[in-house]
Amino acid sequence: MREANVNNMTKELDTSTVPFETDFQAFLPDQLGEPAWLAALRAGGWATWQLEGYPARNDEEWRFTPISVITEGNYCRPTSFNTKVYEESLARLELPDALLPAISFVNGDLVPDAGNTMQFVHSLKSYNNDASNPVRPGGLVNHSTGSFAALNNAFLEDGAAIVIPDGVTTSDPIVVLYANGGSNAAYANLRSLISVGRNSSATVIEIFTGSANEKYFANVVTEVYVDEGGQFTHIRLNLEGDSSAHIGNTTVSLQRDSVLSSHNITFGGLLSRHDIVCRLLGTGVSCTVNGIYLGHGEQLMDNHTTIDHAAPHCESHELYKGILGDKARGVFNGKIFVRLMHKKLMQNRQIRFYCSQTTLVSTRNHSWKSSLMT
Amino acid sequence: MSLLEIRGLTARAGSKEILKGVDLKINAGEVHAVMGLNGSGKSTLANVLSGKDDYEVTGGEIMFEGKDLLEMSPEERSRAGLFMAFQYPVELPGVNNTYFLKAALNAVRKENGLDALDAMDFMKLVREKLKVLEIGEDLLKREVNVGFSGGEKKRNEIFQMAVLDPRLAILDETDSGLDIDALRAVGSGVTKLRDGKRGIVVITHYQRLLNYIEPDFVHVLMDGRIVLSGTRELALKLEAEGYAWLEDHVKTVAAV
Repeated sequence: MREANVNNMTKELDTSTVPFETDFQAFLPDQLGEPAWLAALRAGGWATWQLEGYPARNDEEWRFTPISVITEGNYCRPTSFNTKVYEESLARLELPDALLPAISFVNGDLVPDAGNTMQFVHSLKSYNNDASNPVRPGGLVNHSTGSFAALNNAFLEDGAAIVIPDGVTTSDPIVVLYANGGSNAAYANLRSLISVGRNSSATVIEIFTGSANEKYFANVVTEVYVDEGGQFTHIRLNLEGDSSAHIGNTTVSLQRDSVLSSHNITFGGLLSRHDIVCRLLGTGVSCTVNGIYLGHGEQLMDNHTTIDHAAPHCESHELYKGILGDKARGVFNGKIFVRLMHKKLMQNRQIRFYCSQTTLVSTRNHSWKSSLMT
Repeated sequence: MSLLEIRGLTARAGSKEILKGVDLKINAGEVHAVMGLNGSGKSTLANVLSGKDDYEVTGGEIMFEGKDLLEMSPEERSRAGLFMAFQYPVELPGVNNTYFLKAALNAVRKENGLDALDAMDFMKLVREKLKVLEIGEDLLKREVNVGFSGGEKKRNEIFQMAVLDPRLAILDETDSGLDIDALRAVGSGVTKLRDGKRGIVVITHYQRLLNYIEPDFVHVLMDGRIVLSGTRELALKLEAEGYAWLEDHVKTVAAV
């Protein structure tokens, strides 16, 4: 008890040197007049960040992910908007016409009048100010998700909001471009909110890229809602610069009969970590999570996956592969939760698979198989 | 004589009463759609018809071509010409799709006093059906539903239905988890199997499958009873307006 008090005191004392404190104090006045729910989300995020800060080395979730690249990086929010980063990124990517971005950002700030305007794609900033929108950021990823998610909530300002109404099949992929860097040790707070309506179908490609050989830190949160019978394909392409740090969290909520096909491709970043969490909330959900990473030099490629079978009669397939050269490292941590549901009786059971490096995991769960395991 | 006649059917799973008096009459050649919200009893009705033993029938009767269906085991029902396309088709590792179908078909033929088909005749029949349903032959060589995508599983169910040529087919949420292309394929497959003699019951949570399989009648199951029957327009209205108006309608009728 006494020890706990001492720890709390230490934490309180530390708040004077909280990372990003100066940035946050400068950023906050710009957010005056934001909706109350957003202010609360931000406050919760900042309070958690103040209290917890960076994940500790003895935190099980971060044991194999050294984050000194971030903690010693002295990152701060860029004060000016650098269009050059966006232009250079587009030139480097050489995207075909069909894959030109529908919406683009530099260090998390919207590039105005860029890209081909697409239906259902909005800037998160304008989307958040419309009180009639039923889906809001923070529903799946909030301050309790983890330190970096809390930091992302604290600095939540703009991003991509892709909201597909019920019964709509979008044929063209929707491309979101996040270009980063362009100023000394930039901190980029990136956010996507995607909602696929009942029996709708959509493909979203998120591209993360940035200046090569330049130090910056991208902190990403993507929240995805797929309603009943919805079909969603997500391609997440990490092409960050080789000196950058990239921390990402993608959380997907899947309702009855929905289908998720998620492909996570990681080529960039000195430190690249991606956590994907899929919540299978209704019966008949089909969830496929694939990943590939290609590392060289001293890159660290880290993938954490969580698939939560919260309802019976769902299936999930997972396949991760990696190729590493030089002194590159790979980390893979996969968790699958299978909850037993038999008639009115519900038991909880957890099955965990821990794998490392180049890994092949393929799982399929049906309730009858689960029953056999008890 | 009706193909299937359900009178005052009540059934429960465990101690929970799910079906509270279902009446439904299906004549040969008709396609009936049964719609309803989650937990309304749609799947229970399908499972009771197929003879799944997790459900206890507490009252009422089901006559299938004049015979008491409830007295028959699931195998007897199948051999008598009842077919069920499952909501969640089961995987059978190690069982080849062709052998599985051949055994099932010959069991039905034996029941009807016909000779078992030999391998040559069977393959001829199967290829014909594959052609009609526009399904690739590789399906035959695979293990039953193992590694199949959602769409492939549902198409395989329809393929089984085509080969077994049942008198009455019950499709339990065959549209769930399908993308538009797979939905179209399944819908057109079922439509090709409408021959004016076969009865088909389409149980569905969504209206969209009915864009591809035009039903003769639509029934709405609510709280274990069929509360309203109509034509396809009823399904369209449910999709557009939801079920709330129907709940009010039921209350008004009950009050009168």
